[in-house]
Parts: sequence; structure tokens; C-alpha cells
Amino acid sequence: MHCPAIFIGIMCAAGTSAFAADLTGSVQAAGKPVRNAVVWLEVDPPPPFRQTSKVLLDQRNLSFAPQVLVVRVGTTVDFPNNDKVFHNVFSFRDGKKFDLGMYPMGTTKRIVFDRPGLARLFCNIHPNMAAYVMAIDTPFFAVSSTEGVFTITGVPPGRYTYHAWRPGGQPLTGSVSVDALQRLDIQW
Amino acid sequence: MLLIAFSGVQLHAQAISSELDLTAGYSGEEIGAAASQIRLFGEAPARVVFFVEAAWGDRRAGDAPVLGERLSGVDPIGTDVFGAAHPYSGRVVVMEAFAEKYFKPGGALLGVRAGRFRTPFGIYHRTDHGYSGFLRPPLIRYDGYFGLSNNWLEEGVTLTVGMPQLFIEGSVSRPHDVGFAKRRNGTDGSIRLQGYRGAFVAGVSYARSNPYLSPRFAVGRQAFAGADVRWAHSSGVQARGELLKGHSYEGVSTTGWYVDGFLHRPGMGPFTVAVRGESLVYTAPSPRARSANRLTLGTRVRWPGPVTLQLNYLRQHGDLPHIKKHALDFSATYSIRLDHQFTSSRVH
Repeated sequence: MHCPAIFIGIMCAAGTSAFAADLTGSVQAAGKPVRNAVVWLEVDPPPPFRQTSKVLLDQRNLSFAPQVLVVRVGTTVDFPNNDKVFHNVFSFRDGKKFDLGMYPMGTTKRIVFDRPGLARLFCNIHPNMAAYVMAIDTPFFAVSSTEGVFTITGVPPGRYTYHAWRPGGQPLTGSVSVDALQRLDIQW
Repeated sequence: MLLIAFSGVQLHAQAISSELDLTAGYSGEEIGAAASQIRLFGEAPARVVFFVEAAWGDRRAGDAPVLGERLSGVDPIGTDVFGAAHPYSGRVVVMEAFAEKYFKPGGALLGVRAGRFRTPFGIYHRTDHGYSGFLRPPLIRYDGYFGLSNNWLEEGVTLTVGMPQLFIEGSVSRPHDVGFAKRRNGTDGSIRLQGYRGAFVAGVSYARSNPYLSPRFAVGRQAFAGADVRWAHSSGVQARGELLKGHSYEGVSTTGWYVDGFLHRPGMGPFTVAVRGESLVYTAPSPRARSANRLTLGTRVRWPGPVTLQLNYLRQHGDLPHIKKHALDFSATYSIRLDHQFTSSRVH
């Protein structure tokens, strides 16, 4: 009970890492950084999920933003149309299948991604528009930055099966031990 | 101190995109075509949206004779094939070039646009007609068929007021046409009311302008009123159509309509089926009166990657100039797009 302040600080830091750590890493393909790669850790059973904030997949300037979106299974994603033109967003191939039809600027349609999987989104009017929504059943995921780096925050230490996916690439899987010093570097 | 120092810095992302479309096409009316469009668009600071498009297109006709009398002041080849959304004049032309800004205060919608733009009347956007599955414009929306062309351009200002579910769009402008039919200079005006509810988008429009034909016999102003509706169902079925009534100069009248249907369902992969039925009646002192009906069946194939194929079969009859009563049209378009993101910081 007579701990000096510096000791308390060390214990707090140690306590944090004892209960949750940040898993950082990088993603490369053919030696080059990969942006918009999705990395996630499997947990069984997944903790319950309750959506607390809006998740947007914007349609603006004849493009989707972001072009890769990762959500927990059960997330409602808003699809606002911020272009003056009509869009017709659909996903017919994998994952959640839907067709939003046409709706004008300033209005929004919503889709609940209620099953895990990758939805490939296109606009049936504008062939250059494409995006991906990855629905996963774990709270531990991240999307790589332009520099190809990612951080999965708040992961309890332990051994996990990880999955990685990137547009145009084959899914990868492996195992990783999460502790304060562990990195996960993924190569395609 | 650090937080205070950074609190006055606002990160602002500017997105600029460029697109290039290259199209080659051939019609059973013995007409070959090539076209290209390049576009630059995005968001400037303060979320001002800009759009610039330059287009080139040219067609070459075989020896097939044109049925009916060619119309004065219009397409010298005598058919509307490949004229869906861009002119095939053999020249590089600047199509739309505008800046626009939208405000959405408290759920309302206020917008202003200035520059060169297509006549805001009915279903008028470039992407509504170009590469949508049809290789020809609706009869009522082609240069020189006495209707209101998709390719007519205005230079001026539009104002949009309302809310997303119901708004009015009005424009004041001067014509700046780049196709075959060029309206005479003057002040143009248009107003459009659009509503949206459920699966329906409906609008009514009115536009006035000067005629494109010679003032020696085309006197007065041209004026058109129209109604348009779009409907989409989550099963992948869509329909849209326009009804047009008006006159391209005094003493004549144009009445017409078209209905488009699109089918794109799971399991169809890259194929979209497109169907169009349409009619045009132009009344004028004999022998200038014309009428035509046309049925088009088509498909658009979004090939994996940047290629879009379009194939149309059409059957037409009437006395508008055309080359054959049946025609098979085909086009392939290669599209590429580049996106650039700029992030700038401004210190207030």
C-alpha cells in the first residue's frame, strides 16, 4: 500500500497488458505494402454485439467510401446517396445478398449484415463503382492503412487463429500468440 | 499546449477522380462507330463538387439507303444509333463543365450549380442513358426528332430547393449545343419538380428554349412539358419512363413516350436485360408530319474488369428517317478510373 507513484504506473501498464494487448503488424504482397487488407482474430464463442454507432458506406463522387468496410455480424450499415445521380447498389455474389434499387440524393437505405461473409458491392448503373463489406463474428479486426500496417486493439493475451483477406487475393489463415511484444506480419 | 495548438487545424480531404471510356460499336444498319470520353470530377475545398467531360465520337456509314426523307439540320447519316448520351460529330467537344454545391440544413436540400450542363428536364443525366443498356436514345430525346434532346447543353445556373423527398430544380441559361441540332441563341428556362416515396421517383418538368431549326419557318419558341417515373424493386426489377408533350416551334406538336424495363437478378451474373417500348408522334402541316414506334430488346454485360458490352435488337416502323426496320446494334466499352485523394490541413 506504500507503492511509489512510478510503481503504480508500471503496474497499471502491466495490468493493461495482462488483460488486453494491441496486436500490430503489416501486410505485404510481392514485397509491397497492401492497403485495405482485413485481418481478424477468431474467438469462440464471440462476445455479444450491440451496435452503438452508425456505420456508413457512402456513395459520393460516383464512388463508394470506404471501399473496404469491416463490420460485426448484426451491424446495420447505412448507404447514403450523396451524389446527384441515382445509384443502384447490389450484392448478388457472396455474403449478404441484396439490391437497394434506386434512391435520390440526400436519402439513405440500410442493410443489416446478419451473416458472416464477404459481400461484393457494385452499382448497376456505374461500372466503376465497387466496394467490399466483410461481416465477421469477432470484435478483433483491423483494416490495413495505405502503408500496409494495422493494429487490432484490446485483445486479451492468448493464442488465436487469424484470418487475412485483401481485394483480389486469396484468404490466408494461421495462428498467432498475442502478448505485449507480438507482431503479425502477413505476406501474400 | 499541444492540444490547443492543434485544435485550430482542420484536416480536409479532397477527392479527384478521372475516368476514360473508349467505345467501339457496329450497327446492322451498316454503321460503325468509335467514341471516347474523358471526365474529371470530384470535390474541391468547401465541398464544392465539380465535373468536366470532354467527348469525341465519329461514325462511318456503309451504302445502306436511308428510309424516309432526312430531316433538315440534323444528323447527316440519318439514324440515331449510338447517340444515347453523346454526339458523334467527329469533333472533340466539351460536354458538361460545372461546379455545384449542396447544403442540407436540418433535412432540407438547397443546391446551386453553375456552368454547362444538360437541360435539367425529366430523366436527363448522362449515366441514365449512356451505357445503361441501350445504344440509342429514346425517340423523344434525340437531336432533331422534334423532341428534347439528351445532348442539349445549357450554360447558366440551376437552383435546387426542397428536401430529398420533394424538391424543385429550376434553371436559367443560354443554349450551348454541341451535337447536330443546335438551338438558336436566347434565354432558356426549365423547372422540374421531383418526389420520392417508397420505390417510386416521379417528376414533372417544363422547359422553354429557342428552336434549333431555321428561323425562316421555325418561328416562336419551343416548349415542352414532361412527366417521368422510376420504380425499383429489391428483386432486381426496374422500370422507368417519360411522357413528353410540346412543340419545337409554333404550329407543330410533339407527343411521345418511352418505357424502359431492366432485369438484373441473382444468378444472372454480369448480364442485365433491358427492354424499351416507345412512340413518337410529330404533327405538322403536310407533308412534314412524322410518327414512329420502336421496340428494343437488349442486354448489357458488365464483363469482369473494365469492359462493358451492350447488344440491342430493335424493330421500328414509322416515317422518321432510319435505315432498316430491324437492326442489331453492338458496342464494347473499356473504362478506367483513377482516384486521387488529397489531404490538406488548414490552420484557423
